[in-house]
Amino acid sequence: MAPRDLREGVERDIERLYRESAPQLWRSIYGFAGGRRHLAEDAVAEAFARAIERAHEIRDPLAWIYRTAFRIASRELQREKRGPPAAPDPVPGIDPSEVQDVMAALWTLSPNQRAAVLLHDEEGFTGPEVARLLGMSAATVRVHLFRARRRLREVLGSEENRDD
Amino acid sequence: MTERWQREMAKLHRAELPADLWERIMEGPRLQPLPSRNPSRVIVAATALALFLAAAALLWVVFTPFRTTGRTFGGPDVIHVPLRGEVSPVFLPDGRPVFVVHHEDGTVSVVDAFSSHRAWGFEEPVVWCPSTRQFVEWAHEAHFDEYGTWVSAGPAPRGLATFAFQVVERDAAGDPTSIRIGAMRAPDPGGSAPITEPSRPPFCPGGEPVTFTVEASQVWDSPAAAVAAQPEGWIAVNGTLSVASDGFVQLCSQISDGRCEGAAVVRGIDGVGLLVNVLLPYPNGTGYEKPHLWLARVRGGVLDDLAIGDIRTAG
Repeated sequence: MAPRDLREGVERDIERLYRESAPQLWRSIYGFAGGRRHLAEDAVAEAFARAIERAHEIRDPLAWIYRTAFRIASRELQREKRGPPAAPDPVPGIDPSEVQDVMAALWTLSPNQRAAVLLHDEEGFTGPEVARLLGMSAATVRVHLFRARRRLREVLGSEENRDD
Repeated sequence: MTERWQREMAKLHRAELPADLWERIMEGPRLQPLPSRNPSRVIVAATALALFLAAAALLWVVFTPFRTTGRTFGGPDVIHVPLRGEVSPVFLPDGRPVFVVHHEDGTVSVVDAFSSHRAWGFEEPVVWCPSTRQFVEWAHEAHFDEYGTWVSAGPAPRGLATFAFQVVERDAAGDPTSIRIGAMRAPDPGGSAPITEPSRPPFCPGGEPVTFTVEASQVWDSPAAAVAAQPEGWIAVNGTLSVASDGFVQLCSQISDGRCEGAAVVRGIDGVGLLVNVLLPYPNGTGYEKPHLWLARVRGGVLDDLAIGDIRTAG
């Protein structure tokens, strides 16, 4: 197989993965970054672009892309060394003012707690799946989830409502 | 039933993926590569490895002189043969002392320096007496000819053991000039009666005996340190023999106020026999209770095959 054919094959595989998983990853990183839209776009795009370049070295592309995206986002946040934006950047589908409180609450968590609770409670991954996607043990994920939820209750209030 | 934080989180789920992100991906990576996942772990591991190697190298350099040249004296594999009529004392590669004898007829013998008689378990080296062309046991004065055959005196039960050898090189006359020494051969069975003959021939009339010399830097001053180092082969060690009333034998670096210091346990010595027959009847008369240079081997954490004789130091 010629190199060009090989690359096209890799691109097709990654594109399929993109169609299936990028929306979830994008939302997670958007929440992880405190609503910074450009930072989330950079992290997700960079993770997929690097996955295409290094596809032959990667055994679990989905987990690799998730871990890379979260690491890029963490690095960029660390570089900026700023708190959450006053209001989340607008993105299609949501009103920034509606998610301002949850963004502020998420920002009080550690990066690992934030990533775990977004993937598990917002995107619906199971504990072992979160562990695989973040490169942690399942026990560690459970601890992050427990502490993250406790903190979110403290910040957002603990009243309970029944959904109709 | 949901909590507020869950409902607030659910709002994030409506965020839609930007439509042009795939085109951006196809342009390739833009950001700087990420640093190593755990750079600190790599640095710590590399530093630990470097420190370990440096420490190992330092220990190797520091202890090499003691382990090889400083405290053992094994000779070369190929041994020089003296001129016809001459005898030279040499150490085998494992440090065992032997005499290389070049007989007047041009033949060569390699004769063990340890007598066939072991008093109370001690190895007893012999010396070479050039004037009589005989080997003489240092402690009990048995005499052997230059082939190692017993001649007279002593309680030596048989002759001296000899060694097989291969000639490595010869001179123009065909005489061996260097040999490689092989296995030990059984000594000539002829020997003296168990009891020393009452009339002994002179030790070495008209001449100075030839014996073994060990470099001072190759001598251990502490039996305990020698045992701890576990050197291979024969070693030379300074020490004073201590025999307890129950026959327990130690070699001490010194005896101070009755206390044995720097001691190593000695195996194979008949302590009770030595105490009753030598040390008690003849205190200060035998040399055993005085500081002395000994040859020995370290085996299993103790000194073994302790040899006492006319071994000298130089340098």
